[in-house]
Amino acid sequence: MSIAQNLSNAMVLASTYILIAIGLTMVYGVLKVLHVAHAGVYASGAFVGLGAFNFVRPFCTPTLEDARLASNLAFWISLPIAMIVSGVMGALIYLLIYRYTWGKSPTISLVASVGLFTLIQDLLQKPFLLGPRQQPYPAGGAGMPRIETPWFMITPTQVLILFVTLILLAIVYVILNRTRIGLGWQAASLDPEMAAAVGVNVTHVIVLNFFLGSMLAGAAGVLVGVYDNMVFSTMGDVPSYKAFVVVVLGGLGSVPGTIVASIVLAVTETFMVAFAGSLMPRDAIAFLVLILLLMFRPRGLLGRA
Amino acid sequence: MKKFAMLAWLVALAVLVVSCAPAPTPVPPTKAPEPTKAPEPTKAPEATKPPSAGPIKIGFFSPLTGPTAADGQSAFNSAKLAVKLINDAGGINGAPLQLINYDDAGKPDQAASVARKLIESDKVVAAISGAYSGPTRAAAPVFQQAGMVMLSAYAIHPEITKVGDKIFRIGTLADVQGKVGAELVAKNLKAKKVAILTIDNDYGVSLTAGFKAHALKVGLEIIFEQKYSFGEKDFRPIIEKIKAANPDVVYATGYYAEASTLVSQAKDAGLKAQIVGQEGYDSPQFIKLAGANSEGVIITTDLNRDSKEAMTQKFLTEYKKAYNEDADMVGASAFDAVQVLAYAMKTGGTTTDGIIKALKGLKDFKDCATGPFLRYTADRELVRPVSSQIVKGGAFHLYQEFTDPAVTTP
Amino acid sequence: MLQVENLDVHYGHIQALRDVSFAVNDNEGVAVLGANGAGKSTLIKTLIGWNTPSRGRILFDGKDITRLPIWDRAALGLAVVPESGRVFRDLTVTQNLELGAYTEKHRATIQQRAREMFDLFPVLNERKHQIAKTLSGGEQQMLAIARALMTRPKLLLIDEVSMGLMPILVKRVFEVIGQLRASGVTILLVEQNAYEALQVVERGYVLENGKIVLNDTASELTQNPRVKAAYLGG
Repeated sequence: MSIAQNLSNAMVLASTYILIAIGLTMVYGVLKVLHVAHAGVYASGAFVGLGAFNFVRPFCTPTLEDARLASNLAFWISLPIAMIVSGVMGALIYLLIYRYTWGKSPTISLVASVGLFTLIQDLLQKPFLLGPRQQPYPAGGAGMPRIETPWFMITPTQVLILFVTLILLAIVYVILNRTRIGLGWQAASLDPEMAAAVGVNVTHVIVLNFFLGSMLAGAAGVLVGVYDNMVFSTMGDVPSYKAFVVVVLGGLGSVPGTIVASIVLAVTETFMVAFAGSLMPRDAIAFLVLILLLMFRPRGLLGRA
Repeated sequence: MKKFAMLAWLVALAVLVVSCAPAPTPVPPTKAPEPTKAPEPTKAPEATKPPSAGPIKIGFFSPLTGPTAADGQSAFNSAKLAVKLINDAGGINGAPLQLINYDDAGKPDQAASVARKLIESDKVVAAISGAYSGPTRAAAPVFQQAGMVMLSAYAIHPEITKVGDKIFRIGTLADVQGKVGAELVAKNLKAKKVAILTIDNDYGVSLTAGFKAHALKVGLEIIFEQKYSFGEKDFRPIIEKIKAANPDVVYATGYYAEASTLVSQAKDAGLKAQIVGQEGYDSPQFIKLAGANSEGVIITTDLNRDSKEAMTQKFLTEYKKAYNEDADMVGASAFDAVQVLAYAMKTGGTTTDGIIKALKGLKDFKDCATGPFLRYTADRELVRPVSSQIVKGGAFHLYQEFTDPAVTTP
Repeated sequence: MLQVENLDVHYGHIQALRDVSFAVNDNEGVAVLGANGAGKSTLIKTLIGWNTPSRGRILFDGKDITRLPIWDRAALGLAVVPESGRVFRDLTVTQNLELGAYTEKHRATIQQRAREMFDLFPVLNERKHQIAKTLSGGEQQMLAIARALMTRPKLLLIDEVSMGLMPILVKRVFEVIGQLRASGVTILLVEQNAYEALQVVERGYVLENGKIVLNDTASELTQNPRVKAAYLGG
C-alpha cells in the first residue's frame, strides 16, 4: 500500500477541512459563538457555485469550441460568485442574528445557530432550489494538470483543491497580518472592549470576519462539490460537527492551530481507515483523536492558555 | 433587544417541532392490538361489498426529508402512479384506492410512530413500507401487533418478514440477492479473488452475509473485507488497500450516492477490478453522478429495464410522463407493492385475513414492473427472477436474468 | 473639555454611581480619589463607553457622547490607560502601538509617533519586537500609556495605574504622568494612591459610595484632614 498516496490524498482532505474550519475559528475568536450555521453557508456555497456553473456553461460553449474549456471557464466564474454570495450570507447572519444574541447567554446564540442551520438545509431541499437529490458538479480539474510521480499521483481535481486552498490561505494571511483592519481583527479577538477603546470599529471587524470566513466556507462547498461531483442539501451535516472537532483540536480561535489540526485529523482518519480497517467509522475517529488530545492538552494544539 | 431573543427561541422551538413531527404517540405494547380492530378479522370476507362504498385507505411511508429523501420521493411518486392507474381502471371492485402517506425521515423511531398514526388515526386497511430496512424493521412489529398487513417494497433485511405472519416482502431478500451476486461473480465473470466492501447498516450487512454464504459454495476466495459508513465520501484509503490486494472483483454494497463516489474514486486511482453492486445502485442518479465512471459496472437488481413485460414498460413510460424523470428500482418496487396489494384486495377483500389468503394464493403475477412474481413462500418471501444489469452507453441494460430456483428461492 | 452631568450607573440592581457631576478643563490634570468599590473604575468605564449610564450626560468638547459607540470616542480624542494596562497580550510591542494609533490612517504619521514613544520609553524600544505578554508588569503599564498617547489624545483617562506595581515602579509611572502633564496633556486620573496622584494634578474629587463628596484643588485636598485620614495614611 502506498503511504505516499495516502498522504497526498490526506492533504487534499485536510485542505477542505481547513477552508471550512477557519471561518468557524475566526468567528469563535471574536464572538465566542459556536457558529453551527456555518455548515449551512458551506452547503449554500456549493449550491450557488453549482447554480452559477450550470447557468454560465451554456454561454461559454458557443465561444469556446472545446467543451472542456467551456466547463473550466464556467468553473472559474462560478467559484468567485459562490464565495461572494457565501460571504454576504455570513455577514448577514451576523447582522441579523448574532449581533442581537451576542453578549447574552451563549446558549441563545447556539440555539439560534442550530435553528438557522436546519432552516437553510430545509430550504435547500425545496424542489425550486436543490431538491432532495444529489446534483453533479462536473467541473473536473478545471484545467489543472495531473501530477504523477513514481510514489503517488494527484488528480487534476486534487491539484485544484490544493491550489485554491493555498491561494485563499495566502490572501487571508495578508489581510489578517498586513492590513490595518486585520490588525484590528487580531486586537478584537484578543480583547474586543480594549480594541474598541483604541478606535477599532468592532462591528466592522466582525462583519469582515464573517465575510471572510463564510467566503472560505463557500469555496470549500464548491471544491468539495466538485471533488465528490455531488452537491446536496444535507452536505453540511458532517462538516457541522467535524469542523468543530478541528476548531477545538486546534485551540479555539487559533487560525494556525486550525490548519495544523486539519492536517492531523485528515492524516489520522486516512491512515486509520487504511490500517485499522473496519474498527470504527471515520467520524468516530475524529472524536477519538479529539478526546485523546484534550486529555493531554486541554487547550488544543495551538490554543492560548 | 428582548424581541430578538424571543425570535431566537421561536426559531429553536420551530426546529424542535419540525424534528419531532409527527409527535410519537407512545402506545404500550400490551394495548397495541386495537380493540376496535379486533372484531374485523372475524368478519366474513367483504368481496361482495357494494361498489358504492367509500375509498379504501392504504397506508404508505417513506423518507421525504433527510439524506435518503430522493429514494423516498421516488417510492412515493411510484406508489401514487400505481394508485392512479388502478383508480382509472375502476379501483378495487369499484371502490377507489386512497393512499395515506407520511414522511419517516429515514428514522426508525419516526417510522414506528407513523405506523401507529396510520393504524389509529387514519384507520387504513393495510400498509406499504416505501422505506429503508432500518425504519421498515421498526414499523413492522407495530403493524403485526395491530393485526394489519404490511408489504415491504424494497427493504430487504431478513428480519423484516420474520416479525410475523402479517408482514410480506416485494423486493428480493438480501440473502438471495447476495447469493445471486456470488453466482454472477463466479459463473458469469469467472472470477476467483473477491474484495468485499460493506456499507455498515442493515442493508449492507445482510447482503454481504448472503454473498459470503454462497461464495464458499461456488469457490470464490474472499481476500479483502472492509466496512464503511453510510454517506462515506472518501474511499481513497480503502481503494489503495484494495489495489494492493489485487482482486478480480470488488463486491461493494451501498446506495447510488456512495456507489457513484466509489466507482469514480476507483477509476481515478486506477483500480482495474470489476465492480459488482446491487439494487442500491439502481437509480438514474448513479449514472448521472458517476458519469463515464459508471460504464461497465454490473449490479443485481429487481428492475429489468429491457424487460418485454407489458407492465414493466408501462411503468417506465408512465413514470417518465408523470414526473419527467427516469424511474428507478425503488420506485418500481413501491409501484409493485401497490399492484400486489390491490390484487390481493380485489380477490380476497379488504380484511387482513382476506388479504393474507390472497397473497398466499398469488401465482405467476405479471401485473407488475419487476416481475413476474411466481409465488410467496411460507416465510412470505416472493419467489421471483433476479435480474442483473450492466451500465452501457449511460444506461442500465440487461446483463443476465437469474431464474435457477436453486439460487433464487428464498 | 469634559463635562459630566448627573451621571447614574447601575449594575443590575446595584447602583454604582449616583448623580455624579464634574468637569475637566483644557490642559488640566484632575484626580478622582476613592477607596476600593467607591465607583472610580465604573466612572472611567462609563466615560470610555464600556458601561452605559442609566441617567445623565457626558459632554466631550461640547459634544454629547453619552451614547456614542466606543470606537467613535477614540476618534474624538479620548484615550484610556485601563486598569492593569490591558495591552494586547499576543501582539508585539510595535503592533500594540500601531493599534493605539488605529484612528490615524497615515502610515508615516503612525511610525513617527511610534518613534516618539520609543524616545519617551526607551525600555519599549529595546523590546519593540517582543510579544507584549513577555513584558514585566511595569513595562506593560508603560506600553499601555504609550499606546494611549499614540493618538495624541485630547484627554487621557488613567485607571488605577499604580495597582499591583512595585513601589519603585509606581514612582516611575507617576514621573511619566508628571512629564505628560508638564507637556500639556489633559489627564483624568482615577487613583487609590492619593498621595502620588495629587502630586501630578491640579484639582481633585473624592468619590465615596458612588457619590462625589469633596471637590477642591490638589494642594487643599492634600491638607484636608478627612482626605489625610482616609487616603494619605496620616
